[in-house]
This record gives sequence, C-alpha cells and structure tokens, in this order.
Amino acid sequence: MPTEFCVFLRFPSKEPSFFDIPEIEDYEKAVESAALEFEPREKDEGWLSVWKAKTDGEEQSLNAGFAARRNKCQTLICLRLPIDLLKLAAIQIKQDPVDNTFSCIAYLHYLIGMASEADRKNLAKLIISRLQDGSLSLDALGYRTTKSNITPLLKKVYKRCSEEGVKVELEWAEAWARTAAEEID
Amino acid sequence: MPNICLEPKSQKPAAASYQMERRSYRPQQEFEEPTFDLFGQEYQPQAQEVKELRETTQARLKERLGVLQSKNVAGTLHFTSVKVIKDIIRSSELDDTADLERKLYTLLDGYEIILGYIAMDNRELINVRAMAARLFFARIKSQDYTQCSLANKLMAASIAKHAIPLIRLGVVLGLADARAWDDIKSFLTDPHPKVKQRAEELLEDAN
Repeated sequence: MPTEFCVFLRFPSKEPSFFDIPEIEDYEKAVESAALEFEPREKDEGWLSVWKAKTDGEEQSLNAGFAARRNKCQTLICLRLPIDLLKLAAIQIKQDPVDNTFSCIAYLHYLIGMASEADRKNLAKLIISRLQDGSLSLDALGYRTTKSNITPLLKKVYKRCSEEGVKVELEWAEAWARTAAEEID
Repeated sequence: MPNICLEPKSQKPAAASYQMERRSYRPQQEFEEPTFDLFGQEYQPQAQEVKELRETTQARLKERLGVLQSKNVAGTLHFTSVKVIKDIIRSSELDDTADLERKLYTLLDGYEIILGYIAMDNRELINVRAMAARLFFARIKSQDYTQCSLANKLMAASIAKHAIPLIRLGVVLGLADARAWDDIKSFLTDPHPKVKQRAEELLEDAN
C-alpha cells in the first residue's frame, strides 16, 4: 500500500543545521542538538511553525513562497518531517493560517506542539534512529536550494497564484516573482 | 595591652554613614589590630608596617577582584551568546535572525573571541558550536585584518582545522558571509564530502 505523501516542512533561517552533517557518536549530545532544532522560541509559547504539504505541488509552492523572501545569496533550507514520524512521537498538530505570507499558501501553515523537552527529544531520537537504520535518508529529511535554482518554480507558482485570483500579499515578493517570470520569458 | 585601631574613630570619614551603619553590626574584633607571637613575645606591628601590610593586601585584593570580574564578564558573555545562538538556530524568520545577529555583535564588540571559545567548547551542542564558528568567522574576517588580534587569528586557525566536519562547515559559511573567497579555497580538499561540496558551491556562486 503506498504511503500517503504528507510532510510538514520546517524552514530554518540559517545554516548550518545539525542535520547537514549529523554527528551521532555522542548519542546524548546528538539527541539534544537535534531536539534544539525543534524547540520553539520563547515568544512562540511552545508551538513550532511548520507547513503542511500533501502534494508535490504544495511543497513546490511552499518552497517558492519562502525562496521569494530570500536574497539572491541566501540559501533556502527545508527540513521535511513525515507525518507518520510526528504521529509516532505523539506530537500535537493544529492548523494556523497566517496572513504575513503569500495568501495562496497561507492555509498550509500549521503549528506543532513542542513545548515539552521530552517530546522534542522523542522526535529527535526517532529521526536519529531512522537515519541510523537507513529507513530515512538525509536527502529525504531535508534539502537546500537557492533562489536562482528555483526561478522556474517561482514563475510557475506565481502564475498559479495569479490564475486562482489569489492576492500575493508581500509586495516586494510579488515584484520579485514578476521580474523573475519576465526574465524567463 | 590596648590594641591599635586601623581606622581610629576620629579619622573615619563623616560621609560614609551607610558604611558606618553596616560596620556597627560587625563584631568588634574585625577592627582590631592583629598581634603576633614573636619568639614567645607578643609583637605589635609598627605604623609603617601596618601601612605596608594594608597596601599589599589591598593591591592583592584589587588584582584578585579584577581577575574575578573579568572571568565573570567572560562567563556572562559566553552564556548570553549561547542563548542568542540557540535563538538563531530556532528561528525561521530572516528578520528575526538578522536582528539577533546584530544584537550579538553589539554585545560582543571587541570580545568576538568568545564566539571562538564557544565553537571550541566540547560542552556545547554541536549545532551551537557550528553556528558560533560561522558567526565568528563572518565577523573577524569582515573586519580589517590588522585590527584582528593575535588571539582571534590563533583561534580562527584552530577552528578551521577542527576535526568535526559540521564545525568546519560553519567556518566555510562564515568565510562566505565575509566574502573571504581565497580562504574558502583551502576547504576544496576537505576530507568530508559535504564540506568540500559546500565550499565548491559557494565559490561557484561568488564567480
């Protein structure tokens, strides 16, 4: 039976991430380091911002949305958390549409409950365990791209957003996407 | 035998009322002149000796206090920097991250070596150390090298040759932040494929 494509995407703002080159020799420290990447900031009150993608198209839209907000030289890092992993770790998930990004992807915004250190460590242990037994590869867990690499994707997503009559809310992102689209044409 | 007071009451500064009030709760013995048993005879130091003893003790105390204060400052900077670095790792918002970095560099102005120490500190988490390495190199390499202290240079050399690949990746990224492309070239032969690959990509993007 095929596994349902459903991942929750996390976009850290700055490299390097523990998952770039996970050092697992010191297991306890590795779990703590991995858990730190899922720790909400104080102002987030225990909830971590993630984006749910149920199709490849949605994942592409999310990537485009975030890449549009980066400068040319800034890298886009995407950490992919499969839904079965979150379920196994008994992590609470809730939808939380946001207004401060492209409206065509706003409904894909979710929050996962990460207030508890035990939950964060549990998730970290599950990921590390899957990396160790080979059932999860580093490439499947996350990837890195640049704005220039996904310019065609930006064009496609911008077009789709426009066709659907959805307003692109960030003016500068809209302008950038339009310029990118013109450059390709 | 009567004792000689170190600070006779008549010579106490009148303005130090708070001090005087605090002193009044202390036992009287604290203010008594020390006496020594010298060859079976009680010996009372002379005024000059007392003065010298006081000056030496005060100088030593001052020196010790200075060491403790600088240790305390370094400890506080280290602790606060780690806290900010963790917030940078947690954040997914670019504006927040840029703001946190600005705050960190303002806090550390002149003490950037603290970031180097964090990068080398085995007690810290590996991703915290790698991010500290990036921020350290981004900062010191973007500054005028003649203003870069020898300690910072030595620290930079140690981190760049660090055995942990994730920390070297942090170094490469920091060098790219500072546009130190020539320095990145030395990572093109890095033993870890990801560090090598990232160095190649960054150099390619720069050209």
